[in-house]
Amino acid sequence: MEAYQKGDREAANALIELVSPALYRFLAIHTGDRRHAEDLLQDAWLRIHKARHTYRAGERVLPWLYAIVRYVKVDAYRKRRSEVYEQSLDSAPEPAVADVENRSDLPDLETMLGHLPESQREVISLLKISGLSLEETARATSSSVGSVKQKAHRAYEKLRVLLGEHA
Amino acid sequence: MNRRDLDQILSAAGRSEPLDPELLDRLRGRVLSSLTPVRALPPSAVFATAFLILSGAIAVAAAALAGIGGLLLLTQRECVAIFGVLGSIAVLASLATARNMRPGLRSVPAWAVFAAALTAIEGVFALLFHDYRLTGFVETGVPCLRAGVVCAIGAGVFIWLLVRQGFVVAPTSTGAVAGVLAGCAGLGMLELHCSIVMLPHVAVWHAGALVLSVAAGALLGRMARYQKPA
Repeated sequence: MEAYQKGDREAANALIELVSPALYRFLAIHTGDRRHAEDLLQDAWLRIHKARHTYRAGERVLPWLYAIVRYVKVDAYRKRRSEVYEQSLDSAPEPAVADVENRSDLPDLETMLGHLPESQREVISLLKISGLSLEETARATSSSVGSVKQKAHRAYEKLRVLLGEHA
Repeated sequence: MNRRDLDQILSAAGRSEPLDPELLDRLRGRVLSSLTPVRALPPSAVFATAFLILSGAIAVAAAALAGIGGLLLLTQRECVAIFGVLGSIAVLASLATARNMRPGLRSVPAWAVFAAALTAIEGVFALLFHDYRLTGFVETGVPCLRAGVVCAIGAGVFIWLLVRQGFVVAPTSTGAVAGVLAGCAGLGMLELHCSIVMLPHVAVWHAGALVLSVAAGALLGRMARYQKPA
């Protein structure tokens, strides 16, 4: 990250290749539309590039990256709001995240997470899919560790109920 | 199904998929085409100090222009209490504003900064001033509010010029805490200048400058969110 700040092309290239799949996955979970997720990923990288001077050497990179990506996601969501979900549900766009294998009796990930409120979906996707810690998730979402724990707990309860109903 | 089963399902869904090479090329193209070295933003403490000095200087300068009749009426105890509380609020708001300039840094929530500021300043007014008359409440209050807000606007412009050096991911919250900081400048100017020490006057009109400043900051932050990025 520091090399990227200094204008090192190889470092920038390596960073893009390393983190883009995870950032794409995060965006895909929240949009449910491959094309839209790709557009947002490109927008996110423009913002990351513009904000690269704000990264502080020695700090964790993931909260910084996800805070920017989250900002892009929230911005897009506010602009398109219900239009995005109507399109994603009605017109069956390209699925953005692969179904879980060997668990064909379960709803897919998007369906599961789609039943959660936005804030809970965000926390679960950062903690369990993107692999951030509680502290990192709190930083990325500008909230407290306690709030993240509470949202995660509620999300788990909802998912458990949902999967119980599905069974 | 227990939590471990859920974790396994979610983790399995999180297996990385390779991205479309064309997408990666587009990403590289956007970034590498404008890649230049950048100077890292100074630490948050530097900006917090700058904010503090800025708001204090503007409050003092504005009071010097308008007159320091208020300061001459305050006792030493009242000065220490009022400006001590105001200074503490300004420190908190400065730190919060500075931290909001960097993505991924946790900061005190804007609502907490505002609640602490308003509670503290109203509390100190209630403790120090016991004249409860409403003489000329509106006639004297509106000019005070106007002066406080104008001073806050001046401070707000300079604060905004510094804040835009960073990258704000929560513009409404950042606008609100910057509004607290600018409001401290307005409130400080009023305490130095205004010679009215009736509690209803200071509690409503002086503190009102802080409240309006926070509201304006939050609104401007929200509006900035919907502007297209440069």
